[in-house]
Amino acid sequence: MSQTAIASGRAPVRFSPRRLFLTQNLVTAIIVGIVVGAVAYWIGAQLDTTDNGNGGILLGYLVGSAGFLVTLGFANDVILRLRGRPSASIVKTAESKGWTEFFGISLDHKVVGIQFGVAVVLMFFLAGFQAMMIRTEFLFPNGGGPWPAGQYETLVGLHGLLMMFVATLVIIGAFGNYFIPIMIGAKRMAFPRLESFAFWLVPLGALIMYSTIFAGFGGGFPTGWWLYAPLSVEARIGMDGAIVGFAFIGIAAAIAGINLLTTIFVMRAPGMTWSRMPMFAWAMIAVEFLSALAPPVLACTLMLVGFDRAVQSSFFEAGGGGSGLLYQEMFWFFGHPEVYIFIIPAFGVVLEILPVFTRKPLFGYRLAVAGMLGVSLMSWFVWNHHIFTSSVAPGLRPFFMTATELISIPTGVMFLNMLGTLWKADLRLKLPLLFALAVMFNFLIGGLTGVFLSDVPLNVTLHDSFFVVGHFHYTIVGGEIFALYAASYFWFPKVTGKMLNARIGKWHFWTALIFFNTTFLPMFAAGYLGQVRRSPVYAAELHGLNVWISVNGFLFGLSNLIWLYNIVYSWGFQKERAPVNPWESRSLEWQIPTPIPADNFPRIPTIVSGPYEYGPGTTRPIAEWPDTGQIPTPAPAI
Amino acid sequence: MISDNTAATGTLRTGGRAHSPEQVARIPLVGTWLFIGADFFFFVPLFFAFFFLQQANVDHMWQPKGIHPPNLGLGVAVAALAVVGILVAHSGLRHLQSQRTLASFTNTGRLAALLLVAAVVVQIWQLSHVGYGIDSGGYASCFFAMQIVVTIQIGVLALWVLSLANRAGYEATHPIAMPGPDAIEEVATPISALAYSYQMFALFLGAVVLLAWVVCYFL
Repeated sequence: MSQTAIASGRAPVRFSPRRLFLTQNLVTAIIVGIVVGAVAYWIGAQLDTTDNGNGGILLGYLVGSAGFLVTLGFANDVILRLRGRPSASIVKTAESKGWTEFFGISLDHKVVGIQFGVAVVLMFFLAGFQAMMIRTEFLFPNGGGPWPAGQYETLVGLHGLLMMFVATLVIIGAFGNYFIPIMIGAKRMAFPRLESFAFWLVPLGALIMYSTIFAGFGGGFPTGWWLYAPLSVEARIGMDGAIVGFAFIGIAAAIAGINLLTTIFVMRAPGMTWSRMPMFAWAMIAVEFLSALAPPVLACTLMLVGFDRAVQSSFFEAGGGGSGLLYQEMFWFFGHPEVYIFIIPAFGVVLEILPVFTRKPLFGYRLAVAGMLGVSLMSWFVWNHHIFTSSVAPGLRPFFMTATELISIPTGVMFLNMLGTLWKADLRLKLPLLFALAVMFNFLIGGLTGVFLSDVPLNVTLHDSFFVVGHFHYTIVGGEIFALYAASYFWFPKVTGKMLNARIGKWHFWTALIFFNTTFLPMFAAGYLGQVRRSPVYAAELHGLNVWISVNGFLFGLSNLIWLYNIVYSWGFQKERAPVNPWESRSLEWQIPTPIPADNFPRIPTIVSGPYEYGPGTTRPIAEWPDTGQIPTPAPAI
Repeated sequence: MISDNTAATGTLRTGGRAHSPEQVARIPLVGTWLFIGADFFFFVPLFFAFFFLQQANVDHMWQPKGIHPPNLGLGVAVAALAVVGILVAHSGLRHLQSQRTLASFTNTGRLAALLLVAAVVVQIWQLSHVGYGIDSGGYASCFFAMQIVVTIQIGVLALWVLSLANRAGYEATHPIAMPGPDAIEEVATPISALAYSYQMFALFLGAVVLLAWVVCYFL
């Protein structure tokens, strides 16, 4: 269509979403989703021959979701392609539609990046609030807190599952989608419609998961985020929503992985060779292989749980020939690569930030790339350390223990890259660097305790204790969430045209760093002293320790409100515009105007040097911008 | 079909105002390879469950009395229809790519889609006449789950090849011109690239169909 127009000399076709029927917007999508979901539930309930009602609920969720997505407009292009029509150009040349484009399908990766960012941060605060509720329970010994046992289980499950959503997608979804095309010199993502589809699965999955609270008397689900079978097969009807919601996030992650990888592999600008790629892009390559390949295992496993619940198949129920151990093997085959889906993007953020604020080339660029890819590859061979106490054959334990310990080597290599870059540097102690340093500090503790836990005797001793809770919070919150803070302070000026307030940011930094550590460091002690996770009951002598952890946890929660306040204040009320390149970075995204043009670059630039060529005497620009009137940006002053 | 692009080779060339046709053509190619990887990992738990539960044989419930692999003839028919459908499309698309005869693929593609739909229909008939249900032990669970997933994907494959057939028919009457050297708009993804992507996925799925058939009926 568009090519014909070009050939005939007509004006190029401008982007406009294709609409086939109805008024396709978020409101109609929600209405249609609810109505068809309810109808499907009713039909499913009529067909369901069992007495548990799971078939109707699962059918309702799935058909309702399909109705929502179709009405939002995701089937339009599919139908046109089925009719044999070529796809329209997706390079956006039209003016922005304003705020309404954030509430529908957008083919602009920057809009989708912001959609991801806002949605995931909202989920982060919701899950964080649940963490506060959990810690409130621990203020009272012997399970005497405000939440009855059943509700406490659901609270822990919702907190864990929602934080999994957040941790999986907060850097990949928000910063990956927003910045990767710009960083590699592309005008768009490879599959813009899929990018938007992946985003809309996220709020949909979260809403479905939250609907479990209202599912039947008591509501909720008792399994934690692992959804361990056979408990997840036998659990009350709230479990169905947890299964569907979690599967949606897995599908979203897989789609995002395929999309970002294809974008990086195919759409790099001329001259953007592998050795000139920003570390954040390398981090996306390393992580997206995991993101594309591991979540399908989860999706299939959850589908089988759904079969067991809805049509009484026998995958995980021993009574029918199934095995709960089978679930654990499948789940953790996905689950451990998932851990690195959280942390590798954090390393990418830190490695991206350090050279900018040390004004030095990245130390050991190729080694850092090898480290990232090494972690990504090795993460497939360690999953059994999660189930040392259950299914793994004793003869296999040494293999998985060794593999888990070996993964610390490529991780350590990346730490060497960070330390080498910091070595003898003239540091610019701005907030992004401060948070990057905090990531290094926190993850060092999280990583080292991970090495402890890979050891079979210690693992068996500390299994299901608060030591493990402390460990994974140090890696995920101390590593990834602190990297999220760093990324937000670093890239906020490019996204919004405003700087995050530095004074408020310092308050955020110190309160977050101090109270994070005073919250989670004592958890190692609690675990050593025998406090088990997933239970609000603990020994009387641990009461003081738990009160300390809870109070500091509340303070850590408050520090996050400072961050939120800073974002709202700086974005909405601060009048002063940020410079185009406030950090004097060489990376490509800082060389274009703010706000970023709809199609990123009027003409795709030619990359002529690497992003980290800082240092005395460096004068080469990173890119040439032919025929556009844009002046090549000189290397920043040293 | 698809030439290398400058990004891959790293040679310098002035960037255009839009992504080059070569880059646009490579997008479905690379995307499909990655999708095949993802789909492979989706099938892993199904096959793993089969062998795990078979070995475990919990309470001798892998194949309780009276539960056995279903009629081999129907299994052969499903696999044969699917594989022949895939090969017919493959042959037609190879012809299309070498001869650039768009119109000829319209009918070949529709024939391939018909064969794939026939495979789906026979499979549904088989699953509803097997004599036992998905709740009849480990083997039955694995058999049904595996065949349901494979059948859904064969159905999607039928729609995919139908879209290619329709696209060939559309392009035969509405030739798509290449954009000029400095066009703002991108070229639409060429049918040759879409065909290549389809072929890769179809061959992968064909292999899975055969593997599922061997596993379910002979192991």
